[in-house]
Amino acid sequence: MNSSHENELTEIRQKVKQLLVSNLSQLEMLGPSEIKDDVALFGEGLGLDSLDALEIVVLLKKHFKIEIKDMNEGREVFATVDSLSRFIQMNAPKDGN
Amino acid sequence: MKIYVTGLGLISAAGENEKETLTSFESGKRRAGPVSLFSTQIQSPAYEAKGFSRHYFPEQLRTLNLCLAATEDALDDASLKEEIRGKRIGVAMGTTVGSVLNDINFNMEFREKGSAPMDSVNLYLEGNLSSGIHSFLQTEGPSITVVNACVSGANAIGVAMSWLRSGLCDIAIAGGADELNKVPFCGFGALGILSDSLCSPFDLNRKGLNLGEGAGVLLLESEQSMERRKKKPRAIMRGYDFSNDAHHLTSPDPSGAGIERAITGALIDARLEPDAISFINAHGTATIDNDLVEARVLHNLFGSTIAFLSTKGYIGHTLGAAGALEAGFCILALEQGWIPGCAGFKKLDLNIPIAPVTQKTQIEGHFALSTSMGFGGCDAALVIEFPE
Amino acid sequence: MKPVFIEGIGIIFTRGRGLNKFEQALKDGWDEPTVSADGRKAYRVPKDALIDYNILKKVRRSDRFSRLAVFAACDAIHDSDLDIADLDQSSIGIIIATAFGPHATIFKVLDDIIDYGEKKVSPTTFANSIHNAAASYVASALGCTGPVMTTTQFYFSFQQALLLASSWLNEGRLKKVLVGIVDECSPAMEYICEEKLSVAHNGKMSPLSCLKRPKFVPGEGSVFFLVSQDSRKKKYGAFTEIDITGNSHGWTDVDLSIIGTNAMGGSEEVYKDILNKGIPVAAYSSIYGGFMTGNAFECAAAALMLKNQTQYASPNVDRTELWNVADKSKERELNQIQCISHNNTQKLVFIKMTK
Repeated sequence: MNSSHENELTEIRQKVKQLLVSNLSQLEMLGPSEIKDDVALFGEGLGLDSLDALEIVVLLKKHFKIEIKDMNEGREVFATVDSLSRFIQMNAPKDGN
Repeated sequence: MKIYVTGLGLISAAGENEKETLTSFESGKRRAGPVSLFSTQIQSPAYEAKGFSRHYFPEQLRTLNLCLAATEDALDDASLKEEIRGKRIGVAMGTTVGSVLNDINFNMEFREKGSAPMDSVNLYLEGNLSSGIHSFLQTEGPSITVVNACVSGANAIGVAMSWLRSGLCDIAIAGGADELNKVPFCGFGALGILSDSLCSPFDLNRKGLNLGEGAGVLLLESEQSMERRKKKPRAIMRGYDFSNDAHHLTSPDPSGAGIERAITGALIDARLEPDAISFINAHGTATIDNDLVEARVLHNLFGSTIAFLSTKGYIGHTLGAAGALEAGFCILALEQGWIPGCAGFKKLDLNIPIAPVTQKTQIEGHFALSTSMGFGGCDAALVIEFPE
Repeated sequence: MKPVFIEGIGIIFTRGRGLNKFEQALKDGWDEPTVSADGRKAYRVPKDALIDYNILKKVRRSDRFSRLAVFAACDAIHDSDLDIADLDQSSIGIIIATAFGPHATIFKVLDDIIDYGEKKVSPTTFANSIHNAAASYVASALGCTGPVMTTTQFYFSFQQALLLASSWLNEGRLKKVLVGIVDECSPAMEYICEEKLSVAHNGKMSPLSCLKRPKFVPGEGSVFFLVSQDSRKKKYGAFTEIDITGNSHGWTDVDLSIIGTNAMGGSEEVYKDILNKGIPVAAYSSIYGGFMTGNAFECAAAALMLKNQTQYASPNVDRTELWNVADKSKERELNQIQCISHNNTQKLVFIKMTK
């Protein structure tokens, strides 16, 4: 992966963490830097639940113009900050961010 | 103490009166279509009360107008329309939209300018259902508008039953109403439970609910009132209970403990065993979670041969009106001796141990159960008796 | 009516959280309302009153409206010394009455529709905008699996809820009911009040003046009463009568009348005519502000006075020639207090509370 691609991914990870911390009450006590890229967002990891998953779907629409059509697709994509960020990098319209 | 139902008013997409409603049920006709009451980008069929135009209050107070129209029908049915004025009665109504200041234009203008016209505010201040009904009928007495999401209509009936049992009044008007409104349309869409096609309660391929609008009103009377008036009752509200999951804001408790408690409590209140129930009008919203939890509980309590259906395939999910409309449908079914097929159900979900009826089904016996479940973990059950 | 005994009270209002803060406020009398960035005066609940991580961790996604209710409800249970774990949790009911519901959150939903479009509404914000979200959080925080209900009227919301609580207890299925109110301020609501009511620009309501257009300062808060029909658990006396007929002039066998002159029901002249000149009269809304469900705060004041056998001075006393005003705080024998409220058609509703 070239460095500009990697830089873009880093920026996306930062934005994702910021959005998660600002919008999900489960994470409001954390700073963005305290969320590791590869920790599980749901269940035993950071403890997000199904309503948080729907919230993330709306955040993707609002801030990255991405639609998740099927929540089963969402399950894998939302596993960690890293998987979510890579998905955004691959799917966000290039003029939309 | 017995609580009698002497009047019904039922307005929904299925019909503006009982005759039209029964025609829709018998024919299996599903009167849903694209939303016409407001503009929206969301694609989801809606069950509008098309042609409804009975305006007692300004037209914009659609929920109150629906409620009042159904109330007048129930009073007419009970032969109380003239007699009721100036009397002491209870009014308990359930709603969701009918109590909300949600005018988008007001908000837009206020955000921009720090001020906005008061028209929508003035309408909102006139729109409380129970107060509006008391005011229109010039009656006095206990007055509660229940805002308990999707169980509000059933809860309102339960409130009226409590009042009658406590002797706070001898007559009560109880039910629920909700208009089709953009804000819940968007909100249910955000929660991922709005289907883009006609809903399929309990079906393997169910994708969510359709929203509807309407009003269901029951006229309830105490034994003393019945003796005085010598009116023939249409039904008896035999039992009621309601419970809370204490689990999650929007998802039902997957164990079904809450709805099971409500149903069991209603049967105890009714002094009946489960095998006395002839059929069940289930909440059956056609969401993945609701139908799974509810059907499993019905199976646990009533076995695999119980006749049940959801009428939401005919009227959509009417939110605050649902519990009351569906109690009314139980009364119609007991009187007529049949229940319609569960519109929208085609294929069994193997995770669900029972299947609803798929066509018009004769029923025998005198007792029906109506269940309601709602946001906030609310669960309610009503046992309705058809008198001998 | 069978007496409904008060086992515990929880309260949150402009001077903070807790019955001790409310008692202190009754002793101290009137104080300035807070002033917002846009210059509007209101009796708002301070931010630090809503910080309690033990409670917040149970209701993490709740909005401010729900938190007001959760804090007051939890405090009512705590005040009663009831250990919920000892009780069958399906034998406690919850009734929350509100006049305007979570309107600030409803406007946030509208903001989402305006700013982002219909398909990008926050599902959490929408869920919180539903009127019974607060009750759901209270039930979850306390583990209550009995009946949980939210009701709404503009006038007499608390009184109707209390009547219902009494009916539920009479039916015998429930051992206790947590009955309370919650309402909050917001910029839009304060603007609406400004347009429709006569705002007190000096921040002083005058609830004993009984004016045609009374002076108003908005308030907000929540109060809950844990009640039952078990006299052994009585801590603050009992609700013994509720008269909603609108035909009454109240009782004359009471030691104090508290009038709910919150400036939200139009003319308050009606009180002039009905009050017995011999019975001391008090009004406390200038301490916590005007809000429609604030009638429940009058009941909380009465409960404290019955327990402490102390009358608290009515603040902002003027027009004393009208009647016998309780203008001094003092210990005195108090057996019965009546709380009176009105609506915009001059109907009066009465609650009697007994030691």
